[in-house]
Amino acid sequence: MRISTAGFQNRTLDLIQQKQSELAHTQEQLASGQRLTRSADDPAAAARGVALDSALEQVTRYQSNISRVRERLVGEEAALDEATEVLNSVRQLAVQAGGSAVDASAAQAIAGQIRSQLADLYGIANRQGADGQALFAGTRAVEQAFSATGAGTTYHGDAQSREVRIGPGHRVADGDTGRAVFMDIPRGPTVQAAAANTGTAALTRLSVDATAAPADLPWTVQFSGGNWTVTGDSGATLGTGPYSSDEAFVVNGVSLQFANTPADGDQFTVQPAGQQDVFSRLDQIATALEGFDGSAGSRAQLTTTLYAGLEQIDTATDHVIDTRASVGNRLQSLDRAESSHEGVAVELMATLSDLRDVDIAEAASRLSLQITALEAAQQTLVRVQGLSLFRLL
Amino acid sequence: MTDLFSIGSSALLSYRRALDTVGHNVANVDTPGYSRQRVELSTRTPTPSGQGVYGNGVYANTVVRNASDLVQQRLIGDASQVGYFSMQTQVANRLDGLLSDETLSVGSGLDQFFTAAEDLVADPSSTAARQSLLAAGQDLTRRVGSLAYQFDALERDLGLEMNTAVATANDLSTEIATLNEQITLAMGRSGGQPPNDLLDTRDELVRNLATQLDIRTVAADSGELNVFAQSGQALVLGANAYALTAVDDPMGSLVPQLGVETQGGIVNISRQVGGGEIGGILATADLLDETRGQVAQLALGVSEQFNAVHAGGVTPSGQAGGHVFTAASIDVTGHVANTGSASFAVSVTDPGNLPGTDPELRYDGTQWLRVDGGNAVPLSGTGSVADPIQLDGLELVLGGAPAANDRFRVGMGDALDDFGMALRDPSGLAAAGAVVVEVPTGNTGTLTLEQYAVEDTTAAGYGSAATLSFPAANQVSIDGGPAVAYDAQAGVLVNGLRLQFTGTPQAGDQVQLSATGAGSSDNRTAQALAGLAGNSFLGDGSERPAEASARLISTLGNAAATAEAGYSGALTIQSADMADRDAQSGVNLDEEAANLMRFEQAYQAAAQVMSVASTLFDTLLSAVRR
Repeated sequence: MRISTAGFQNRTLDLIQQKQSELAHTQEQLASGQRLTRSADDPAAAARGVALDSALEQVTRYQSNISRVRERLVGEEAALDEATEVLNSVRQLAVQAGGSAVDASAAQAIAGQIRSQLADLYGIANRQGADGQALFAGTRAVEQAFSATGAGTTYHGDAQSREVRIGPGHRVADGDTGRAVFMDIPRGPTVQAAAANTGTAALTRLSVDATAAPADLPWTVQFSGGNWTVTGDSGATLGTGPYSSDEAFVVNGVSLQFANTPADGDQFTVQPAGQQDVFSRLDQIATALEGFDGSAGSRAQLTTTLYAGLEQIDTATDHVIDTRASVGNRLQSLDRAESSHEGVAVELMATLSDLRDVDIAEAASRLSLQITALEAAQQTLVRVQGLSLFRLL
Repeated sequence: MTDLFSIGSSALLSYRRALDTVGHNVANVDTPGYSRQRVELSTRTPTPSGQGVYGNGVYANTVVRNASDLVQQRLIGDASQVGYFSMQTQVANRLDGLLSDETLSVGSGLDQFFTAAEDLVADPSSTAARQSLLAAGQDLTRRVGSLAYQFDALERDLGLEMNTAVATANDLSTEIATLNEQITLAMGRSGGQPPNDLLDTRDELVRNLATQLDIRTVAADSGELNVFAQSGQALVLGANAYALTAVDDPMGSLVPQLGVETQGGIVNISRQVGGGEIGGILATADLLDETRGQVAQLALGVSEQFNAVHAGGVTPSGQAGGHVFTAASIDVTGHVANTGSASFAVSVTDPGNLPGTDPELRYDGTQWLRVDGGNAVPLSGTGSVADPIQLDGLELVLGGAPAANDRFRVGMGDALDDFGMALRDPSGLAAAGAVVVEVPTGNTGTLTLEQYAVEDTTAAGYGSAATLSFPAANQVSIDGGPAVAYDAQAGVLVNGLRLQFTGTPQAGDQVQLSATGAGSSDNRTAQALAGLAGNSFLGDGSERPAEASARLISTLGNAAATAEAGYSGALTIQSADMADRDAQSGVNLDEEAANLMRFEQAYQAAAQVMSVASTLFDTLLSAVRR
């Protein structure tokens, strides 16, 4: 083929320029560490990269949610632990108050201690989160969840808890409402002694057959002439029989046992099972202790109240422990989700690196190859340029 | 002797011409478009005689250039392709660079925005979380705004580029017309001898014109070359050039269309242009529109959906959520030739189904059509308030009266210019759900709330108190209304909310709904907002926002890669054809050096012949002198 001088030189130059631009591309890849400098380099990989970036970002979101929820749940767990301790010490005080050696002044002292525990419990229930808002107020932004009023306790929160996403389709409540933890605690049937009782009879045992459904509550248990009579709310007599101390009698599946001697006309009320807040349970015991005057009748009243009170503190403690267990379960599920997210994040980053990062070894050897090729092209250009017949003329 | 003199001088004269031509070739070794020339030598007419027919020497017949029309035609096509793809590559790379740029990427803007929304879910009452969501929204609108600005700048640049290309093309056709005239004159003066250098110049000009526009050439016997656009309109006819002109886009785009001036007025030939830089500009203007439309589809889709979900929430002060992003303001531009007075009010009804381009509408006298290339699809709706025109996720309400064949463009892309944040006050973010749902503890069943989903924030009674009561385990009544069957799977739809419960109700159970009111730290609306990141609401319910932005990147990456492949292919073909031309027409200095020596020797020999003739003459003279 005929060679044109100008065309030949232009093509050699083009070739050198092309090699230089390849060299520059490799150099850019090496300097930036990125395989793709624009999405046109590999559109499919670039699009996958964007999708993976977004997936990684989502995992990071879950991780940050997990750490926040954990922070709150740990706070709640500590509060519940302390509440359990308060209830345990109140229980001990109530047991101590039930002893026969306790006189009126000792009872007052114990009542004082229970009142201070009650104040502690309010403190725990009103604890605030890191954001300065009550931990146990559900989704109300208030600083104080509970306040003591003359009539009892007012709850300022609501009955819904916030949920936070910690994984695809996986939501976790970041707390429990004060209503669920402290207010609406279930309790079994309970017995109260009438204030006018003069006998020494006191409740020593109350149990309910699980299969029975006692109806017509509240009942009135009345003693007279050595007999007991149980009357329903409607006035119907549900049962009657001769009374003897420390011997249980059963009415409609409810087993009642009293000790000591009732006076004629002494009355006890059997209240139905229901819900009661933990604060009023403590308050009841303290109030009963404060009303104790050391007389035999008063002791019988106190014994009955303490029996019911202990049972109520036990159910409240169980309830708080159950809640704490549910918090523990949630913390565990946070840990599981976190470690699974960590695995996913590592995998995503590895894939992203495969997609985007340059293979240094490959790029370095490519660079040296390209440098050699460029040098060869430059040298041939110089050598070939020197060949001209005109030089020999 | 006179014969020998005349033979010698004919050789001297001819080789002088040959040497001149070699010099001309060497002088033009680097002249673009130059074709090497060659003197064609012929023997002079011999003298017949009884002793034989004796030759009379040599004469230079003509000077011809070594050029091939076939290669020239190929190079014309190559130049158009190279011009076309070089323009496309430039613009596609620019767009690709813009959208891939980390600081402008809508995808990362969305990621950060949804991360901030997720932070609000975790901390709904934190002012810092609210502020960072608004800041992330500002950043998102900044990204989209910068893109919109860059798109506009690119469109303006393309408009300028078009004007430049048209001016260049006009200069070239004028020059070609002038050369046509000169060539005819030169051929007349030289008795039909080819004016080689003028032909080379004209070929070069024609190739340059092809870089601007794809053309066809037809050579006339007189030596003139006529140039036509692909549409058939003449650009050069003999000595006359017909000017191209940039015509303002009738639908208001900043990139003009291409017209050509004919006797019958200006003819718009934009659709027939498929090559050259002008063809490239027209094609990239479409790519730009498409890209802008897709960015608008994504940005407006997300912002409108976000606003819609946000409207279902309640702010810390107990107000319903307002607009977080400005509502999309979509304008409709009429064709300049429209005769009716129609105008439109556009509203978004389905943010997930916005058009990805600027749709074109046409009124055919009875109904509205959507024109897409050659297809026209009838649209439902008359345009009245009660029956708006349905265009994907848009509703268009007509004002004024259209005339038949009026055309309109719905400016999705232009809506990007007005994209911004409507909310500045962090306390205006509505993170809380509209109602508090409470399952009273007095219930005897095991009903607990499982799912709270907002279905229709515009439903009557949305956000107000209500009571669900269960007269039986399988029946539910709303606010004392008639009892209907309770379907645990479907839940209960009340005031635009769908509530799903786990557990089973007992007869007499209730669920209370009360308005959220002020001072809530609830996060259910924030959950729904953050949940949009994982929600396939775009692309008519098939794409998550991240998928839509990945699609945008891959579409543009592919467009850029295709343009680049086209460009490098066109360059390869062009350089192969150039090699062909060089092989045929290029000057080789070694060859010229050899020719120089050859012709010099011939010239010297001819001079020697002259000298011998002179000696012969002298011998004869001395023989007869006395």
